[in-house]
Amino acid sequence: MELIKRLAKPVSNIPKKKRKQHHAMTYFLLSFFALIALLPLYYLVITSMKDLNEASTMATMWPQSFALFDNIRFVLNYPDYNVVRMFINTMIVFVLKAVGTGLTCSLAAYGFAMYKFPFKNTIFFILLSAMMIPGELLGIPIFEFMVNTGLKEIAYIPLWIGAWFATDIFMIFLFRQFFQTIPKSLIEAARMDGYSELQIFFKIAIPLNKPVFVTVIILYFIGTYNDLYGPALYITQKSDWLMANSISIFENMYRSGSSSYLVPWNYVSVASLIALMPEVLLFSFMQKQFMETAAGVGIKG
Amino acid sequence: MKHSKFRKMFRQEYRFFLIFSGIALLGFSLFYIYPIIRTLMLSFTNKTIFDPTVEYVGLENYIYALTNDPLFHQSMIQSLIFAFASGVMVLVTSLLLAVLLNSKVKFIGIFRTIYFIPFIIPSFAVGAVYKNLFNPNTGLINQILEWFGVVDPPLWYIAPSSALITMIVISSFGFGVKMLVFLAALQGIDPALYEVAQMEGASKWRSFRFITLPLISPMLFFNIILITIDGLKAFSLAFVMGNGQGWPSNSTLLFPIYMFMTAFNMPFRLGYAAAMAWLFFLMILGLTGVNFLASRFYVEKDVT
Repeated sequence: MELIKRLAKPVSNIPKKKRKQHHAMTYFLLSFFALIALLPLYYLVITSMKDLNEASTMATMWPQSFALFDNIRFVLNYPDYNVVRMFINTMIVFVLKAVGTGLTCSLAAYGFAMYKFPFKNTIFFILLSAMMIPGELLGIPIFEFMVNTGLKEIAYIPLWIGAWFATDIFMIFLFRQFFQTIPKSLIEAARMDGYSELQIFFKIAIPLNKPVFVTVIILYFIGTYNDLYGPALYITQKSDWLMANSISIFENMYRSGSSSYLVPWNYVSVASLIALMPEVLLFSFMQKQFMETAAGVGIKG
Repeated sequence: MKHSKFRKMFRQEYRFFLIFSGIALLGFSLFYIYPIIRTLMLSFTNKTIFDPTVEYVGLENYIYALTNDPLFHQSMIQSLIFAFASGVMVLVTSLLLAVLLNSKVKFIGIFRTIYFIPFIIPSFAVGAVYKNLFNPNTGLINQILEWFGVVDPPLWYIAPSSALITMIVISSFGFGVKMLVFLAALQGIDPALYEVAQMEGASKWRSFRFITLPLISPMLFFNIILITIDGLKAFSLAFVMGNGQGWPSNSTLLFPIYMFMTAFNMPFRLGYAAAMAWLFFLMILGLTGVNFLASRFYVEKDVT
């Protein structure tokens, strides 16, 4: 390997002209895909500026009318669209889920990382393989339980209760990886100083592993914000709507019985732009962590 | 004497384990073991949620799904087509883009940010955003196609014959995350290897084929499994595109949507949905097994 490196260092025997061609090709491909990647956002912004007539009947590359402010006013004043309420609701669910998972999964992972227990590794392996089970299969009895006990409509219980029982096995796995790197000598020293096990956990293990908690926060924000399955299944009352419900309000505005109906794309676009604002903000403030988290765990399909 | 002291210490360790990890064991029993057993039991009955009379029907649900239910067949086939086609699209585009982003040219940071943009559109908004883009009357895509002289542009998601394809195309915009995974893998490759290959006169393609691909093959494997399972479980996009019911005429009815409709819409046929969920699980298990077997042929073992 050392030899290869030494060999490789000084030489670069491609003629300059050829290398330039190479770069031109790279830039061409890069720009082409950049255009494709920008297309949805571009048309979203353009459509949000059009007036109702143009947006719902014509395909225009550039808006012929300018009604952005009217559209925003219309959307914000639309009776069913209580965006502040929907956002707060979403945040409530997010906080309950993130705190629950952060606390219980880190506790559970610490136990798996630090203490002996009969068949501990077998148990952990069983937990990991359960990640393969599709949510569809697990969801039926939980739905049945929530309906039978009447918990379905109370305080979003079906959406967050699992998070308080360390059911996010992937998170247990992630926390465990990090806890295993804590030097044993550090923990022994803390024990000598008279720290109890829980004190060691809260005062040493957790502060040493803050990055994992950032991961939990980012993952759960995206996960909760994007989730459509939970709301589609459990939320029926308008006052309980989450951000995930906010766009279909306008999509179905003029929907009657028949299969073809007018879709007011300008309002839909304004609502979509409002809906993607929080993720844009999170993304721009935490771009590095955001991308690392996303790459590390492969979230969202 | 020493022996009993050891035992006492061990037992204390057990106790600590239970204090810390007990919640996970409890949660696992409540949210995994119980549902698995309950779903299995339900799958042998004709249970609906509000009907108190439940009959044991044996394997009837399974047999009905496999032999008699056209929608089950259609949704399974469509899910498989979707998972495979969108998987291939996502894999190819994300690998290609990762290779492009890994090249040492200027402004690469800007491109990286741009490529990540489709990702920040929340998945519940994706449907609306792309429906607007692909709408035959008001969308940009057909407008562009007409500029290029396409006389009869497709009706995209409006027509049953092209709706599934439209969904596959849209889902291939979801390359952001996999692209980053590949990019991370590419950046871990020692650049000296490429320099040597260049000196030896290897073409770009050959160095990609014989250096890059073998070195990122473990990542490739990981991504193929993720993408296959993601595709089979795809819910949000299909739910929005098909108005929650596979519109138009069941052409976007993926299996998770069909199961959702069966279990959670009137008349809440939990028993039948449970049987379908088990069949679905067995299929995922089978496919993952196939993936693992296939990986023997393309994953290099001694990659460090």
